[in-house]
Amino acid sequence: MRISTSVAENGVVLLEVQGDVDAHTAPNLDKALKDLLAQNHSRLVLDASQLEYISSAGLRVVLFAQQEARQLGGEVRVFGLNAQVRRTFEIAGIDELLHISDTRQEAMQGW
Amino acid sequence: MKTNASSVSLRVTAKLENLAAIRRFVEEAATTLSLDPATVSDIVLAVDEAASNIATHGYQGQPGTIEIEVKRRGDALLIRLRDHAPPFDPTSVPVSDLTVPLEQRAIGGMGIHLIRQVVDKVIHRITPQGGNELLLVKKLEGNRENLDICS
Repeated sequence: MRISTSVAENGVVLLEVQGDVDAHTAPNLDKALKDLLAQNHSRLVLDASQLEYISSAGLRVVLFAQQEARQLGGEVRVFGLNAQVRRTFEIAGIDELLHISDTRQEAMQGW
Repeated sequence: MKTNASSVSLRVTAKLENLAAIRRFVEEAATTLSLDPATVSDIVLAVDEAASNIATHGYQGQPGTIEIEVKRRGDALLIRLRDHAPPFDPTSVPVSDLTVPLEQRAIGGMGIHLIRQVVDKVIHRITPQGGNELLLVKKLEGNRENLDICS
């Protein structure tokens, strides 16, 4: 798994997550998100267009980040899920707890 | 990886670092059985979650092995995960209550919840050697009623 982070003009932080997020790699995503939240970055967008797989360990990390972000007045959004990852979000019931969109444009606007 | 006419199996060290190799094994085994991509994805997720549970909750970080066997019996796929960890029944883990608001929800039990969603049966038993055997059954076609293959 690889994560690259950039800050958009509107202050929203974009995290590109590539590869697989499983119980082994999820702590890396957890650290990246917690580091941003600790710096009061609460408007976070996960670019999942290169995310090939996610398990419950990854979903837990995203869910915790969503809880923290909301407490800071922001939220976590996700876009670009492949069919398998979207299905995992849906059967876990996470799809109703996050703003999920198809495109980066949708995710980055309306904050 | 061992292969014979009816099943393929893999024996690996129960470490989270091996989850990627476990997923590759299951994907290759399922592809060999000509399963559709959605079914392959489902069983890859189920085995990954089950193996994560074994490494984390079963062995609790102690050294050990996981043996995974994949075979097709009729219109069902049977996946057996065996370990030598102290008895641990993942089906006894409380499932997260998805109706509770996010802020109040205990984030646990999601792994077994996912497993139950993507396979048709999850059966745990303690082996004669005192380890665990988790059997995952995925119906491959037809309706999911009357699935009594392993009951």
